[in-house]
Amino acid sequence: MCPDVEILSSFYDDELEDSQKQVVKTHVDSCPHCQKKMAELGLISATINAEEEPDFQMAQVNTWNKIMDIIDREEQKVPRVNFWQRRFQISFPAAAALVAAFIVVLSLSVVSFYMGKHTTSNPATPEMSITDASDTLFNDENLFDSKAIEFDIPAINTFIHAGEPLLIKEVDFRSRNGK
Amino acid sequence: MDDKAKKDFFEKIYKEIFPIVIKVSYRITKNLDAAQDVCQEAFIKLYHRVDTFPEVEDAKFWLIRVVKNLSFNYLEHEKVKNRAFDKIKHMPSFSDDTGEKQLLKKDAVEKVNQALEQLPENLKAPLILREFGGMNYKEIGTALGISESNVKIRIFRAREALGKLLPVGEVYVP
Amino acid sequence: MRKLFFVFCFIASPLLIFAQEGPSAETINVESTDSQVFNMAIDLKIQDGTTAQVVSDHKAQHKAVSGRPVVLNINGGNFKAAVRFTVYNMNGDNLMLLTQSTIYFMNEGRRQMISTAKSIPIKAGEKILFFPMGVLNDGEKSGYNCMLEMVVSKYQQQPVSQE
Repeated sequence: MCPDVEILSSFYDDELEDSQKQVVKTHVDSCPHCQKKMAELGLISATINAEEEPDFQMAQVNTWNKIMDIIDREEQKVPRVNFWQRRFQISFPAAAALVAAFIVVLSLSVVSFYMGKHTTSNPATPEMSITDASDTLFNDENLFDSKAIEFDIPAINTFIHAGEPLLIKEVDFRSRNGK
Repeated sequence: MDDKAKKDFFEKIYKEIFPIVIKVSYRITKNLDAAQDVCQEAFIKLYHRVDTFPEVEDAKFWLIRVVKNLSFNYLEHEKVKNRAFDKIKHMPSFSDDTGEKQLLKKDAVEKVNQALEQLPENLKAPLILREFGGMNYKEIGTALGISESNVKIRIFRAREALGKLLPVGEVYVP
Repeated sequence: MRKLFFVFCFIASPLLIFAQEGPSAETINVESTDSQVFNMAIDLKIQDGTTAQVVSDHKAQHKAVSGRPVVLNINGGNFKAAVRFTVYNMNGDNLMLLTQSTIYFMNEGRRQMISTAKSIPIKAGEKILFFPMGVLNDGEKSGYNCMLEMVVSKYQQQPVSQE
């Protein structure tokens, strides 16, 4: 009885267990039909390997250099630019619009001032204490720190894998264990 | 893991695994530039999480899975892109008048390789990892997230599909 | 496009100036930013299953932004884990905690890996437990287990010292 081609395929890949391997080997050695099948498997490998391969070593070097470039660029910390020091690019019409708007506002406020209808008690821009707070918020180094928190626990080698990870509220856990 | 240790570990993984994944990706994408891009993307992803892998082996399985997926994604993308050109591609070409035997051999190689390209992803990936990645069934199973017996069956089916295309006369029986 | 911008500037600039008396845009922004930031108090405990004693206790504080993971690496003997906690702000005190963990451990000479993702709706200030290796049952207590206790609370602004 010839073994299944599926078994021959595993035999070809040297994936059979020792006992089975021996049985199949003895059979194949004396069976022309199975030898032909084995030759076919070899031919498939040979055929798909027959295509010329490009220079993978060159690719290895090139890709490494590219990866290092990208990583270096990522790791170069861009210094935080203060809002007021940031450079803005503004197109000419937009700039013109801003200037025009400023003039309009200025003339309006001058007019309203002289008309004596200015009732706002505190015309100056209120000092924004909140702005300061948000500043500290975003300058807080830990906040966007993407580095992992490292826990180096004692090198105990008898941790037990008790099952699926469990995520539970403490309250629920207690009531569950109380039962 | 400090920065130096991280980089060293990353380099070690790269040196060991790149030769495998570039081959695998090349065999799927059939395009060296694309394969390089795929590997580059995969290794950058790896770099960002390299400290979650205790050993090179763990990174290997992860990388192979990512490279396989990215490569098949690339293929999908190309397929859509190339649909318009398909008609032109399938027009008969005027081949040079080479020797008949050479033509036959070339024909078999081409046919089988074309058939390999046509295989569905679930059969193609295990066979490529076996034939070009030099991995055993267990490793392939781990990398693809399937059982060893599944790997066995898929590789066998892939071979069966390709074997049908081989010209019978070429198999030499001692 | 530019023309539109031009017109917008003309119309909007006086409006912006006179709109000071309402709640300013900045105030709203900062408030909503605040509600997206959390404090995460993490307490990792290693427990001896036999004696139920905590043999090792590690505490850490971290700030978390809604939707951004906080990553923990745990390095033990036969056990390593990478755990990502991500808090999502749902509404008010209602939060969603997502836990993604990849655990490697040696089991009778073989290395095994488990990857899972779990989520749980929580409220700010509630204590949450995470057992990356599962919970030891009464029958199997001759070993160590790992537990993470965690409390997510609203980020408290440090009072700005006034000098």
